[in-house]
Amino acid sequence: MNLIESPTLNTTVPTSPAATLEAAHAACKRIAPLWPLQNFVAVNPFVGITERPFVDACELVRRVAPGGMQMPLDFYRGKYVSGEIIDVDLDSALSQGRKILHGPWAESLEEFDVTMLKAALSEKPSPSSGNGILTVAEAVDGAHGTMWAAAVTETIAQFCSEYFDANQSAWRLPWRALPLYTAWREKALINANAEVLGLRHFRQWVKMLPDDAEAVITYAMQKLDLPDADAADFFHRQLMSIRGWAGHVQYRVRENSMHGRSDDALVQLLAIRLAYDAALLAQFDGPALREFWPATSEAVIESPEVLPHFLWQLAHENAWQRQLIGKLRSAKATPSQERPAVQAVFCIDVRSEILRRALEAATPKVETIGFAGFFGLPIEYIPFGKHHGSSQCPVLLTPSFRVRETLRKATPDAIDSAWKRQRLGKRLKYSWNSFKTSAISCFSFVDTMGLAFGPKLFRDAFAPAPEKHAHRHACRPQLDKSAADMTGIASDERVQLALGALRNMGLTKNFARLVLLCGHGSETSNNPYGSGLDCGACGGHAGDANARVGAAILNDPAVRNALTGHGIQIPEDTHFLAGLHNTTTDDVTLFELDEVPATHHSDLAQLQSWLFTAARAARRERASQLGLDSAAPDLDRQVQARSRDWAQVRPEWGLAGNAAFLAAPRLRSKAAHLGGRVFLHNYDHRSDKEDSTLELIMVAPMVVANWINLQYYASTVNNRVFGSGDKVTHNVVGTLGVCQGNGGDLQTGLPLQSVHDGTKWVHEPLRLHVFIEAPRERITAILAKHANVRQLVDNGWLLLFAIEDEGQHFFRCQPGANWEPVDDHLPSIAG
Amino acid sequence: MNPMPTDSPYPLLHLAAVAACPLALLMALLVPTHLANSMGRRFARLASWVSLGVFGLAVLVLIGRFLAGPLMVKVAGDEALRIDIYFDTLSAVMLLLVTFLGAVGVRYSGNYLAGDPQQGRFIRWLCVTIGSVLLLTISGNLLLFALAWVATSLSLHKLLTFYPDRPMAMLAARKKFLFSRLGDACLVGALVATWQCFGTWNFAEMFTAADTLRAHGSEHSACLGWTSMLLVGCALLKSAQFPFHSWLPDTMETPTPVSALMHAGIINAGGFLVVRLSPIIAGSPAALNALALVGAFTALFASMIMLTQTSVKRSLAYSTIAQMGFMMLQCGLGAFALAVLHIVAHSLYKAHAFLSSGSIVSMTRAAWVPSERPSAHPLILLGTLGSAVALTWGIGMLFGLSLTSSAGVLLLGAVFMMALAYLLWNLWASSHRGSLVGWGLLLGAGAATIYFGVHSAFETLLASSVANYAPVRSPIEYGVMALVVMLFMAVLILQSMLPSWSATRLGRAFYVHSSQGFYLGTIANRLTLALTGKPTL
Repeated sequence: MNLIESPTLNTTVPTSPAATLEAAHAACKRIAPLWPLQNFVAVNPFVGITERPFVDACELVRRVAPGGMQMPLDFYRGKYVSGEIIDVDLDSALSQGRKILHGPWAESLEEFDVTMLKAALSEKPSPSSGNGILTVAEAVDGAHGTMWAAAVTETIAQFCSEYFDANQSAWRLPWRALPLYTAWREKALINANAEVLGLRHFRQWVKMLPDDAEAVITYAMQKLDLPDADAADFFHRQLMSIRGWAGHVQYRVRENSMHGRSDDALVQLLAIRLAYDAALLAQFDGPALREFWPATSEAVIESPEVLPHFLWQLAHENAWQRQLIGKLRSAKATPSQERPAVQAVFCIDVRSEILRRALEAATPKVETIGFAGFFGLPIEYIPFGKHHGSSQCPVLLTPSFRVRETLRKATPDAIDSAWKRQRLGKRLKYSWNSFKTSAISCFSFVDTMGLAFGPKLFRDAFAPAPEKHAHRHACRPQLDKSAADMTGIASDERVQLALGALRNMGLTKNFARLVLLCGHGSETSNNPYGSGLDCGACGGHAGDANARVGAAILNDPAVRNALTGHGIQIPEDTHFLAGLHNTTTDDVTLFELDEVPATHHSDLAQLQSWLFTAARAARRERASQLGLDSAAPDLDRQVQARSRDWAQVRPEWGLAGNAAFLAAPRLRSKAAHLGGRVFLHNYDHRSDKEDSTLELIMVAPMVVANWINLQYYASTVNNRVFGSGDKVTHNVVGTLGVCQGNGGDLQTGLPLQSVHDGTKWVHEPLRLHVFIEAPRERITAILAKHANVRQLVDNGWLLLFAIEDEGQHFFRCQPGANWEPVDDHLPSIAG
Repeated sequence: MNPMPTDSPYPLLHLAAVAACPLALLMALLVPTHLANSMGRRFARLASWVSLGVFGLAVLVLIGRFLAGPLMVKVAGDEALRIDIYFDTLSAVMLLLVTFLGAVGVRYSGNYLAGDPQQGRFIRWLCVTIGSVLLLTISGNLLLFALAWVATSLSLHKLLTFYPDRPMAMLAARKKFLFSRLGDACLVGALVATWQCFGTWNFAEMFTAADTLRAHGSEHSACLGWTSMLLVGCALLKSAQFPFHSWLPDTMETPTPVSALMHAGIINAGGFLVVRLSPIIAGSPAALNALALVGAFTALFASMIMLTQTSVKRSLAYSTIAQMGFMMLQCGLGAFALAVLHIVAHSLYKAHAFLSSGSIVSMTRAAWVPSERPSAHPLILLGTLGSAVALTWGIGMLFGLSLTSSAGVLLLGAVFMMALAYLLWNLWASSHRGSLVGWGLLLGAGAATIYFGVHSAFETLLASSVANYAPVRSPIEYGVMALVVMLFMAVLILQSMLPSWSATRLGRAFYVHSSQGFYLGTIANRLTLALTGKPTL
């Protein structure tokens, strides 16, 4: 196992440019991408450091990001006092620690026992042991009581927002076409702000900087004179001081590389950050500064607080594991051979679990299925009246099909005139908007239209209008192939898509009369993070488009005909329906109802009434977490009102609480109350002869769930660094991200209100517990094939379990695909 | 003693209802912070109902104002130290505006800050701040006005320092604190000058005295000039005018409803002061010129900076500074009723803009921009200018605009004309399709009708509340106005030429300095730090 690099004390070795640049590129790889708010998808903030074991990563992060990535012991004290964590868990944590820790960690571990762990709880939280890496700006602040660290971050963040702005400002940075570093240099040659702040002759200093970003990095490192061995971590710290924009740049780098273009903008950003540090050092170097900087090399040792925190986390996870395995073991459901009235396919999202359970409780005649909410359809969906669409698939994929939205039941003429009307409306709106915001006309705009905002203000504050869904129903996806704009899906491609979807969701026989493909999306108002509540499998969008495309393909007689050739016989009387689960209100909207054959009208009415009952039950279950009274007679109205309230900072809890991923037949979990904390993917290893579905699950949905889980984890353990802080002071920047208050760095991760209810954490920082019902050797074979997945398991970024013998036996996968049985005599219910 | 009896059949009831508006909200002071915090959501809900009730009461007393005429009553005290209520149309409009914004803001904060352990404290100071502003709007003498003014500033300070652990919040609050005390100094000066000049602080008595002074000729008007200048200084400081504006964009460290209230309900206190005392200020050409020049410069200066801002709240903040500048310009031109319209319209617009600032993401998701910038075809340029002139004049004439209208009204008409030209230019240059001509004319005609219609409505409504005489005009005043028109024209041309012009050497430099707010914020921050030391956490 990889340990922390041993400190290099020899600082007399001259810095080599090649080694410096190698370190710079290595540091850039550690930065996680940050998606823009338009499609804010969950990202594992540690995605660049998963090649390290979890505990080593904790150590690294503690040094480069103030606050680290572990929960304070206070949190675990509460869990221990309440009896959620018991002594058995501490024993397990220690024994688990002995299995996975090596080297110095293992040595330190030997000193620990249960008593010591408990004693650690009552110790005063020790101030950080102070071996964090400092930037020069921070050191100057320490030595002189200045505010340079904030000022440098602020300056770079402002520049980045001007460079990347997507339509907030009307007067744009003139150098946007130039590379990032060159553009910064052009602005910095004119900008006097640093000098007004007290950095003397900064513009002249910028003038003598090299033209090339990499040359700036080597130049700055010569001035800073740090040993090569420390360079990568130092660079990492530099990038973490501007981590939001670094994340945004990384997102662009990633997009470019997916399209085969190279992009070194992140290295350029590092050069910009280093330029400030080098300039500060040139002005402030002296004995006072040298007391703070560079932090002495002996500091690069393991910090004493990491291990106890880690052991308590293991204990907490053990407690969750005990409960979950207990539930799965005791939940016995009997299979039914009857043909169900309805099969309803929901996304694996943890929020589906509540609704699925409620729907199954409403009637035993519905069979629910869990599958990634894009239904295996990697499409780009182009809304009516637009030329470009958005990717409706997991961010790990690129869309293979473009599907255009068109008007339902309209003649080509009607479509054409609707298109023209829409264009005209947009032009008028654009001009009106320029009237509102230009430097001169904004005054007359206020005199003309200002009073009209009075009624608007009143309505939004006291009686918000319901969201209009008319557009969704008036339009539908256009599947027919169009050569002109390269949209549509050809017949043979439809068959392949249908085949893949049905096989992977395990729906190849015993079809019901109605099969509902139910995507999901949220409905919130005035919420910059709205897309973060939408379907992650649809790339941070609502999943209705995919469901509708899927239903249209599966209702296509030609497709059904071709499917019989592949051994899938869809009965004549099976009709596929598309739906959208509104996760904020739990209502389900169904589409293309007029295409339901008359023979199925009573089936449809029945389904609608079951969905209505289920939605009410699901709302009642969620009520207490939303701070509502679950017995209130007008609960439905209250929940719906939240989704339209512009002041509501917690319209729904999103995926908070997520802690496990279960790939198994629904029977395994059907009788268990999983509290909306588990991703549920249907999987039956007996029908997966070539392990192709197993492989797919482990490389795609499992990894996506892992990203979501670690995003929530990080936003909980250190919201200041990995989350985006308090929503009430959020300020949207460049329409693509938020900053806190006046400005400063872009915020990453989730707002505090998404994981905390004001008194307690609603999300629990547990790593994802993945349970796959399949023989161990088959899982091992997939791990052997995919190094990146193996890395997640071996380094403890997720915990992998196998279920065998119809749920009788559970095995845990230790590093090196070493399976060990889970003791089945552990107490399953805490305290 | 009741110096100004009212026509109201139920004067006591009317008075009680007016006075109850601020008092109901100021009652929040009586609730101890720890109790407010422990009540949390329930306290927020209670405050929300109270503030909504106060809004309802404001509607009633507004109706009462029209049924029973203005209310000018001495409530208590004697000589200098007394409590007067002055409730005319201006007060009624402002009371209605602020109670409405207050009701919206308090309700918004109920859910917005839900879960914050300090929510009670927040709501408490929010109510006190709104109550202080309400007291300001109904004050009948300058001393009470000054007390309400300072109380507003101090209670707002409590909201600005709501997060003591945020260094930038504390720095901005201190910066604002310093500017406010400078404003207070002006106000104290104005109090002294007023007493010297009129021997009273009662508004009604002051206005009568000022009329007499003016009637006696110029040798007596020196004190009137001094008083006016001090009042104007006070207003400019309060309404974030150049060069004292930089605190405003820096106060985004506070929860959104505070920004909404500050930008909509508090910042325009400066404008209210000028309009309230317009019977005095309108007598001083120097004070009016100062208002016009500082206002116009601030409007354009902040507008240019606004164009470069990349965050929604900072754009809104610079927009507020600019709009306040425009309002001061209107005052400087003697168009006091229009200034009130601008205050009301801007408040409603800006409060909505702040409270819905989170929607910007979904709005831009749906937005459309032309693939390329409009090309400057001379015919289109001529067409837009011609149509703008024709629409403004044609429709303006229906509402009584003519060449003999006052210079101020003509100037504001010219600004509207430029705005209309910009609107049509953006529409017609984005595509050369024929149907757009009709749509553009329709849009322009609609905007002009509303513009002039609302203007004349406010002129009529407020005729009795503002200066009832036209300010003196000399060549200096006309020179000032010509300069203002040219400045507006220059900015209009600059913006329509932006993409090409900003690529020039000068344009780039101007962009960079503009994007930094011409360093005034940084300088003010350093001064504040030097005076108060680094915020400690």
